[in-house]
Amino acid sequence: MDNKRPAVTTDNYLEQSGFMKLLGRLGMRNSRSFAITMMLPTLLFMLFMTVYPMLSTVWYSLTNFRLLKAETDFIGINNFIQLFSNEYFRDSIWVTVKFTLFSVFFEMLLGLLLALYVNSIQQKMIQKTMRITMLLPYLFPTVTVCLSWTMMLSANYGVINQWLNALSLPTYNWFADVHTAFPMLVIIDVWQNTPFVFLLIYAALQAIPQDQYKAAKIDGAGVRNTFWYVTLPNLKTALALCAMLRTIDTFRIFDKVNLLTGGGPSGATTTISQYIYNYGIKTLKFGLGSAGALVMTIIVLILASIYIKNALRNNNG
Amino acid sequence: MAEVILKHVKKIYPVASRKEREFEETESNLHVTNEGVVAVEDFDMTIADREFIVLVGPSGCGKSTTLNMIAGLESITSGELYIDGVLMNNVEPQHRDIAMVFQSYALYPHMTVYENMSFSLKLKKVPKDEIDRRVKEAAEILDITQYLNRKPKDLSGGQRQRVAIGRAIVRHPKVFLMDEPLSNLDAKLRNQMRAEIISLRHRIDTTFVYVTHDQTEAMTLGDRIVIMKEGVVQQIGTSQEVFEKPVNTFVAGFIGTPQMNFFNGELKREGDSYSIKTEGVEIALSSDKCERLIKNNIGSQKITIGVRPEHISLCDEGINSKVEVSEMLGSTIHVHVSTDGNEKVILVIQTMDLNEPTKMFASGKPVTFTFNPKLVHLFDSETGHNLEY
Ligand SMILES: Nc1ncnc2c1ncn2[C@@H]1O[C@H](COP(=O)(O)OP(=O)(O)OP(=O)(O)O)[C@@H](O)[C@H]1O
Ligand SMILES: [Mg+2]
Repeated sequence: MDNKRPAVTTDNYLEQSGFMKLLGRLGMRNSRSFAITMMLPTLLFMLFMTVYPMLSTVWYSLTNFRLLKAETDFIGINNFIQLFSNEYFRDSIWVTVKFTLFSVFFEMLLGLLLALYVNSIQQKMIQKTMRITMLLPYLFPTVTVCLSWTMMLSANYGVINQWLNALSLPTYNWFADVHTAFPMLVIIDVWQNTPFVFLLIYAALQAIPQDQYKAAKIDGAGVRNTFWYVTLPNLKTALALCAMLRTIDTFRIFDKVNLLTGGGPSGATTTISQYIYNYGIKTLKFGLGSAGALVMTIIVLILASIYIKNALRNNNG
Repeated sequence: MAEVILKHVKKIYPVASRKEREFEETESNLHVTNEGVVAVEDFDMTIADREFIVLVGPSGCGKSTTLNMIAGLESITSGELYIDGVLMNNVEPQHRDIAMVFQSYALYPHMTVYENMSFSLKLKKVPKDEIDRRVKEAAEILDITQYLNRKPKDLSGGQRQRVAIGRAIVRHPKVFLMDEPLSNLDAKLRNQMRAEIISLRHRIDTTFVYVTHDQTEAMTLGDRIVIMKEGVVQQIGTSQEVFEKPVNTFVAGFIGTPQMNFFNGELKREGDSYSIKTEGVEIALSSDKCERLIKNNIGSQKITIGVRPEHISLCDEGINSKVEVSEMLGSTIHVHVSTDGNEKVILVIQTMDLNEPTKMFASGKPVTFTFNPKLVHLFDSETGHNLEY
């Protein structure tokens, strides 16, 4: 901060290196055409990688495309009509919403509490160790997580049921029981993703200027008021961002559901993506699957825009 | 409206790891003991009611630490702190009846100016109309009434600083603490705010403790100045005292711009008269100086002679030197010369009576100068202590 070296900005760097002269000779001195030229490769790549698949999904959703059928007909919105008149699909939306609400709520709550706790530890060594151990669940691949939880929760030889047995408590067939399958899925998802929330909020906590805390102390704010008037407002953006990312991510949940329950028992854990997998992909009805995917995308977009509008834009923190 | 007494106040920051301690020992000049880093050593002072005290010193000398101990933001390792006769060591900051202004302003970013200023009163459950009256009054004093509904991010640096001061004023504190409040402002705004702090001080009439690393700020604002170095108080005195009677070479060099010149020399005593010798020139000291030296029982010895640049005058016969660079400032010219004995010296010369001063002091030109023996400072060459005071 203090050393007064002349700042090397991109502008004067380019100027010095003679790069701008070269551009001028190529007729690209104009900054707009320069910008477009520079972005073109990325734009083309993005078009190919995102826009093309998007458009083909939209197209397929309007057809009765099946992988094993020769001809493909345009059938308008029939796929959507079929989807929304299907009770299982409507259920899957409800399951997904419920799952997202529970998971995100508990992830946010636990992540925030953990971040506050770890941030308040005075000994730096302990803080560092806690920070790293806390991250582990997030670093494991989902497949590993699912396998170990499956083993721990196995009805016969699972360690959890053994403990419960030892304590003379009732045991369950966790993933096959209508009452426990859904909560278990939430718990495992929360267990794996809380570290993400923790990390983001912990970083935001570290960035709050200490002077604000000093000022609050002199102003006479106790623990509760300091949290309410200093910490929380300063975390607002991070919390909103985190909730948005987690919502979008959780809404699309597929791997855990598919690996742990496959959508069962009796559809209690069938989320939208699991539904698409069961009735669109497995049966090779790609037209129907595309329509389902599109519905999911639109819901996610709506959710994201609500967050962005309310929390991320025009914030003062 | 309170007297603040610091009795042998000391601050030791515990150092966590061995590595950190070694780092502190090599990287800073601070005293490191087994317990930790000694940031403030034996701070002993009585600050009178309504006095304006300035703590000044180079970075890391413990100014902020001292202020934070008065505020209650740092615990006091040993010693006692009294505000208005009450022992404050274990009193929470909000019960010390102090207010503090930070260098970073430390405004709450999500609150409006009004909310920022009223926050402490709201927490104290002061009635709404009373809060309103006090906030408006403070806003009036600081000329920020039109910004009361804005958020800090929509204000300029100077305006934010006013809000930070306003937030402190509304509390009617006994002691007003300021930690480098002007360092984040540009030079012009800083001068303006400095003048405003002086007028503010007369309006709100309370005890001030003000931290700065800028000696001009210290000289202009303080009733008394506390000069610190590496956690140790060097001198406490009025601007004039620290300027005219610096206790050691550190204070002498720190106070005054451009810096005081130092020469290696010798003090010679013959009976009751003294003379100094440097750069082949011998100058007899004035009788009042001799008297003080006799009183302190000083004999002939090696000394460091300190002369302020403005107390050096040109003459025909004296110390010979060559100009290295000169800086024309309008009414004065700062001439950096190097003597035959290879000492670097700065001269401040009035340009009023000279014609073409820049030519006269062009690089390489010879300059002969001498100094007023009444205005030289004599320091022990080993300890750096002033031999007179
Ligand atoms: N929390 C701390 N733990 C350990 N050492 C500290 C801590 N805070 C400050 N110090 C040390 O104490 C010394 C005095 O710090 P202080 O902040 O009081 O300096 P300062 O005079 O205010 O300097 P500046 O002008 O840079 O603000 C510094 O050398 C610093 O390294
Ligand atoms: Mg400081």
